[in-house]
Amino acid sequence: MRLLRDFRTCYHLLPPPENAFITERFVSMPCRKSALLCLLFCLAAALPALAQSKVSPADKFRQLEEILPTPNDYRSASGAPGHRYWQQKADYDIDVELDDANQRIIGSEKITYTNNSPDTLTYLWLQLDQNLFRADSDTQLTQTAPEDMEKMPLAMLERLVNQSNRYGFNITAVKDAKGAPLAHAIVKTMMRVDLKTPLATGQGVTFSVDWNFYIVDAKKTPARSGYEFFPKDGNYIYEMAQWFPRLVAYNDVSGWQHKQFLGQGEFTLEFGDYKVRITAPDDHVVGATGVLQNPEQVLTKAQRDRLEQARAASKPVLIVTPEEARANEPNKPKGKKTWVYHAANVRDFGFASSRKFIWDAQGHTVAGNKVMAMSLYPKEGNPLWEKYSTQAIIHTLNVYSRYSFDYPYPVAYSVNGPVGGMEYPMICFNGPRPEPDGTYSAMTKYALISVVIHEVGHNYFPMIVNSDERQWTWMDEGLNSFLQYLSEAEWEPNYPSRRGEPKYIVDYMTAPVHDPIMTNSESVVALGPNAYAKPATALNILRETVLGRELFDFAFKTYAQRWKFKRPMPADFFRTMEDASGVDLDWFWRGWFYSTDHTDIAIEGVRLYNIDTRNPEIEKTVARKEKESQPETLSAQRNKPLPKLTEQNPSLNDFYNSYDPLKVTDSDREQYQRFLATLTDKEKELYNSGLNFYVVELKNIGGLVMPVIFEIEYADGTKEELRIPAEIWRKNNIRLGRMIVTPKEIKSIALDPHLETADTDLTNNFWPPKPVKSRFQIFKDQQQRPNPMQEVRPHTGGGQN
Amino acid sequence: MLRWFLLCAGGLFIFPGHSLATPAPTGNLQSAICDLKFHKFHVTNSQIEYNQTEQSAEIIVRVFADDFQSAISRHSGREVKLDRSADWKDKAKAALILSYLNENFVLKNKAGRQVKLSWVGMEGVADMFWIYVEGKMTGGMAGAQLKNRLHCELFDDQVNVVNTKFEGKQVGLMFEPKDGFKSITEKS
Repeated sequence: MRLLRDFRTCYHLLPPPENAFITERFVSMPCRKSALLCLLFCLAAALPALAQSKVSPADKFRQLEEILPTPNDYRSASGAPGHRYWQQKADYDIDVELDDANQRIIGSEKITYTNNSPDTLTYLWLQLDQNLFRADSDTQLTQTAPEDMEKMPLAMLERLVNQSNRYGFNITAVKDAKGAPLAHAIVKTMMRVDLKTPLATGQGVTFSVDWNFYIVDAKKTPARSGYEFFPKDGNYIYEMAQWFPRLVAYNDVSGWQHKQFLGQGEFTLEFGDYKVRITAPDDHVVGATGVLQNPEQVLTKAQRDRLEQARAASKPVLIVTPEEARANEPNKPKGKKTWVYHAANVRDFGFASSRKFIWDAQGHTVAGNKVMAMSLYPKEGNPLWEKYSTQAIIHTLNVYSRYSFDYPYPVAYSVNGPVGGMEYPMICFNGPRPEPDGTYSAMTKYALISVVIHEVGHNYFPMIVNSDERQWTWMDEGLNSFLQYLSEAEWEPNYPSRRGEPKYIVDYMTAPVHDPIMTNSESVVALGPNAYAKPATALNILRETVLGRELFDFAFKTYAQRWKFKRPMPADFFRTMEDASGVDLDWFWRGWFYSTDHTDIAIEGVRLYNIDTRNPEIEKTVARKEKESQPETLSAQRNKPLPKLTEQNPSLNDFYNSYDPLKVTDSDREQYQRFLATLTDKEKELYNSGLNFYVVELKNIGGLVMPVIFEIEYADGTKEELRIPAEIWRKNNIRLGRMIVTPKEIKSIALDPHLETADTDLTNNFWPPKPVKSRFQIFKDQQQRPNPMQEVRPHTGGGQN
Repeated sequence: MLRWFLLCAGGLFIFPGHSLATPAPTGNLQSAICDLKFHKFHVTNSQIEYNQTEQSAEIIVRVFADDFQSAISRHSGREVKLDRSADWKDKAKAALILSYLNENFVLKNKAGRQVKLSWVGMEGVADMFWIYVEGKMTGGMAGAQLKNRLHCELFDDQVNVVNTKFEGKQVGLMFEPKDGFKSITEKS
């Protein structure tokens, strides 16, 4: 390659015979050069990339194999479950009584545990989550004093004052299959059951546990389940979860997942079949995970008929009407009823019970599978709940099924009570309610729809694709938030989603402390954005910008279907997405999931080159034009009128005083003709193509390598979008020059015009640079304009919004 | 202790320490919002950008709507609703929010004087509020300090993130309840 020549003059160098030359016409970017240049380049030569110095930046495209766990028989290299994949099974046969008078649960369960692992087990671990609420629990013991004692929240005071040992599991018996006592040890929120004989591979063991506990007030204590008391009518709503001692997960990656339950990180569980008999006051409506087995015993004829009607309905049918629920509120029960629920292949069991419930239902078919979508809510939930809850359930089942797998369960409940948002297989608890006067704000409306979508969505992730919520919260929260965003987009135009769009993650990405997504959830500082928003946004970017919708949807569906009813790990997800899409995504996982880099790509400069036609008529004319367009210096201006010696004494002039180097001479013409003779017709075409060679210089400031998306506007008014894969950064992760060859003249270039890459600084995305109004300025300007109604009728005041 | 005790005794609304546990009367926005699973996270995101021409600090505070409503209600001693667009144009509510911000988002210039914030506006998107305020700050951000205690009276795990842009630089700060004033820039 020919050395860059210093410019300011418009000479050609004598060209070496074979090569064409590109003449740089002008440089048009801020920084260093502002003058017009003539440069000579070898057409075939590579662009001058910054040479990699000895201190080379980390390679963003390095393969991830070095970090990911080694594939094995349980988890294969393709990301699919290995041919010897195993997981345990835990079946439950439970009798439980809800004591409405004392807000208490009394239960007895028979657990059948099947050991499919290659290991022999001598003990089993169970979770006793209710023990979180004991006064001596680790959560209480490790609670630090609030910084501002003067402003202690009332609830905290109440907790401190009312601390009692009333809460927590009271385990009254642990027995083997024959009924003989089994040795066990309670370790705070865990219990170890020592098996009489070691449990070998393929064997099962049955044992039973009896227990009781006081239900917490879920309004006063932050809890995933509990009761809500309504002082006006003296009734309770019970939302029950974590209400029975449950098997801790045992898996191939971490063995027993028996970290103490501190209230933050959640849990992982085993799949199994449940038979649960719930005894509640006879005037309660009970909804639960699974299908009701004995409707003749617990429902009235009218209710059974309405349910039947609901199965084929095209909109929700009331099984218990608002009038009936209202009439039921002052009721005193005469006795109890037992509701029998069966659920197959679920990892948990939740239920809700109240005499206040209104109950609506609508049957819905998902690919041949009949599902009953049902909502339970007190009158305080209306009119919002009757309008939106069941519809939101159905919408979620439709959209999520399309992106992952057909909803396999027979039922999907959404229940309104004290818990804001929590999910269990086939049943979820959702909090938003309208005002007491029945009105509600837009924010509340969307809050309800969004939370129902999100919680019902959790059936898919992690209830069925059983990722470890404690270790990798993002695998369910991130994926679910992403699908929630897609569902919201299909609910109504311009649904106010807050997660998904890359522009909303920009703040978090540049935050000073933020952990990589691939950090164990227990260690993450600001878990929320880390586990929900950032992964959801990353997946959206992967879908829209990196892979495209078709390829992404195929790969994502492959992942969901491979791991349906199994337990995936992050590597399984990363590998499957690549395996199914055929695209190397290691740079993407590295950047978005393993690092805290952000996107900030800048246009540093644009240079323009032309082919040197070698035609003196053209080249010398251009050179002359460039020379003439040079600004005249101040001194030159002032010197002009001064008398010159050569004007007074013309004999001092010689050849050089009238020599015009830019005049086209015959010799020039002859030289050109000789040159032309050496060219083929094709080569002649090339020289006369009149093409412009732009080089756009980009710098990666934020660290994340991302696809480069240009919107080019030409001088003739036309526009063009150019989408370049992220691999353009593979030779140099920090700086690159991208050539654009065009016969047209470029007027402007914008980088990431549709805000796809979560670029944190838009001010450096334009050439020529243009000021970007900040959000603050835009908002302020809007505030100062009159509202549309005022604009139309300037003398009318007080418009409503 | 005495202060809030009097507030309690007065029977006014004090909202409990976790936004999921709502006070008995109304659910609506107080019930944990939107796409939340149980482990709600307590974060606010603020951005301060220095406007060279106006010589002012332009601040956008982004908060979870339900937490913020709790905070303002607590601050005012009575239940305050902010979730309707009409609320965002309400002058009384704006004054209330401004007083809360002046108390809990304290920006000091290099002379050590607090930058008085003035109201520009607010808007709600999904489950968040965006609050726009500004303050005169002649002489740039040099030597400025910030104390950010938004929502710390509600949650002891509150994390407040602040991004400051000035002179082409970006400085990120993270505040926890235990933090006091932090320097945004070194004195120039």
